[in-house]
Amino acid sequence: MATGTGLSRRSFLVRTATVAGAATLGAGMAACAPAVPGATDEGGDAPAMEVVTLTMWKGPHKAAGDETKLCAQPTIDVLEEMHPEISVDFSEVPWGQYNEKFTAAFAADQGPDVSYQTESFPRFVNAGHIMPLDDMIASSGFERTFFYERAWGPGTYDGTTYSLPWIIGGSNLFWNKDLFEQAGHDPDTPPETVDDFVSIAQDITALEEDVYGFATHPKGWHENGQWPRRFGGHWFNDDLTECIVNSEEAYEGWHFFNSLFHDLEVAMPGAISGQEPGVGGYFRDNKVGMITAQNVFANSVRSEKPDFRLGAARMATGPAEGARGRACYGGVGMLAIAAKTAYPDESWTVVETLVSPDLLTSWIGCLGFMSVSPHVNFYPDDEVLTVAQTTLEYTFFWPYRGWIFKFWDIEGTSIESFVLGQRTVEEAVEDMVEQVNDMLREEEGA
Amino acid sequence: MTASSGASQTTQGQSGPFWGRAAVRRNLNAYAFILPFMVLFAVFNIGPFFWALWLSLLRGDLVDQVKPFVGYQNYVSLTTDSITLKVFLNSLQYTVSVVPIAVVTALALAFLIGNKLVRFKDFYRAVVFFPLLASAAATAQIWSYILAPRYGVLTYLLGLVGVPEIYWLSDPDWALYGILLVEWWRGIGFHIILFLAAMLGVPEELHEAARIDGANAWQVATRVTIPLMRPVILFSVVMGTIWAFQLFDTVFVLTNGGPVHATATIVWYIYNHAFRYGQVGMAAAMGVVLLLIIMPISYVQMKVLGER
Repeated sequence: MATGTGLSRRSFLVRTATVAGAATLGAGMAACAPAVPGATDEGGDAPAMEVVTLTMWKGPHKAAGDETKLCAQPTIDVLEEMHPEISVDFSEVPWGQYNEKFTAAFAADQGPDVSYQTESFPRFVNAGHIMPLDDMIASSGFERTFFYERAWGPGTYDGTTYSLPWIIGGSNLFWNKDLFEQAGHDPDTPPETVDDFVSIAQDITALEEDVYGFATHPKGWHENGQWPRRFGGHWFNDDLTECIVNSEEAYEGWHFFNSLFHDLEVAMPGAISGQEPGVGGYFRDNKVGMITAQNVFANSVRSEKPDFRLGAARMATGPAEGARGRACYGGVGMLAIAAKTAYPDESWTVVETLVSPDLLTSWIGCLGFMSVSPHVNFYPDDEVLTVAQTTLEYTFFWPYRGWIFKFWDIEGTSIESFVLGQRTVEEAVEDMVEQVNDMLREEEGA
Repeated sequence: MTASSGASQTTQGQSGPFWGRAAVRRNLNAYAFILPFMVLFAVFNIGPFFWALWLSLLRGDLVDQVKPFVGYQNYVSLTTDSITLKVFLNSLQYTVSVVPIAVVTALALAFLIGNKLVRFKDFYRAVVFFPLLASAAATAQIWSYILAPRYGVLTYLLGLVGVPEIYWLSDPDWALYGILLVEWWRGIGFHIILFLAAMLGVPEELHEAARIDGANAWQVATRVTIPLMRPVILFSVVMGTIWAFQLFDTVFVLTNGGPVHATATIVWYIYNHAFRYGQVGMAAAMGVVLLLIIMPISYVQMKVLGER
């Protein structure tokens, strides 16, 4: 039926659909059209420089405050001045969304050109999403000795280098000098052995009812998993096909750790340290004498409580020989390039420039991490952080494998179960070893 | 055609077969209007559903370009994984606890707010609804401080009346109830607003008639108002059940499934398999099983509560 406008209802619907479809198609095509590098018309006769925009994602390290504002963006500004043909679109991806965002992006072949990778990066290597770097390293003349030799290990998978070391995080023993003094100990002398550690912890615990000599998060997989190492145990066999952390030596470590909570009672109960304000909060509030934590923690304490008298050193040694006796968590954060980036050369330029001494210092030194290079000292005038740098030799890296998150969940939950008194040490450890070995067999068969 | 069928055709408008070329032509406008929704529904609901079904038969990481077909192996693996059973039981325990508590307390609060003697009703409506509008992650973070053992507000208040310290989020025996408390606070506004709207729909003359017949306030509420609110209560229970089985964000932020898997839920475990463990087939299989659990429960709820 014709309407007053001369347009039938059917015609109206058809025309509306046609116009909407055309508009959608047009907008879609415009959005899909490749951006022309440097297409912005600056005016004038000089030819416009082609500027390539690269995406870069990194998980935040906020111990120093706002990472993007204080450390990342100033570094990127310098990088862009050095390489005006490159623009870096940097995003901090919260750790809570890290896995899902990277997984979704790489699954859609939309991964960032340059990314910060950690222990789980072989997931993306195995799926062909991370670019091998050996050829670029060789052709650019990049000097491999710039980095500590062991810093290369985590980014090397099946004999191929997939990333450049950028950050080394490592744990130390931190102590509260005031509580040491109150307990009658020299505030500048850390415990040398685990027996000294227990002795000091007992004296601090005796100070007040709600003060403890030591604290750790009951599920703190980075820190708690070091105890069997300090007593001579190993987590895995050499080719990572079997979990062996139920050896006699490892059990000594597990039992010692458990005794801190349930026999000696010098450790803050896990049910308290497992909730806010957390281990770091209680430590800052003078409720805990000693903790092990990543060295960036020093910055966090200083920013929140400038007057805090903080001590930092390598961990007290257990019965194990050498560095293993003082084992602490260590990890290398790395820079990788997406295999499907449209700009591999520019991405390499970014990666190579970010690990140059000045830029390494302005970003990673700014965050309070240790240096990945023996040629770069971030903190020549800082006693605490200089000590932290020396603890590198005591750090033990977890395996860099795609299954690491599942392993950490099994490990953390198992340890937590005996710390909270839900199971005996033997029940928890045997169940953990069985679960981890099942996982390894499954991975091997995949 | 009989007179009556002719009358029926007149009153009902265009009737006759729904399918067929003539019917399609006759209903073209209607189809045009529902087409955008149907397209979106197909793309974002039906498509992913069948994709998830397919994924549940594959093995591998979401980022893998090739995922081998393993048939029903993922479903078999679910039966042998000890944590799977734990997360299903946790989700069940949480659901049977939170849904009745939320619905009953919401009903009580709705009656309280809806009472004629209560002033500033709009203010109270806004107050109870506010938690639903706030970001789940942000509110969870705030609750982590409220529930903290030494410095937490709740611990302090309970301490004033002699209740000993409760480790709401770090004691395996209490942690699920800590989560329940937070989720109850977040979700109760939805139920209250629904119930208040339903109460307004109950004709006032029915209340008056009951009072004239000698019914007291309790009898009016339980014999007149609540029975007439049954469809809304049913909706509330069904939605509450579905949401309870889908619990994730509060757990993710507050406890990450701990302590010792005490708060690990099905969706939390699905998330871990899909995005952290690189086992998307297992994640999809769990999703399918979750659907198979929610569907019959919702059906039974609708049958039982929907009966007059």
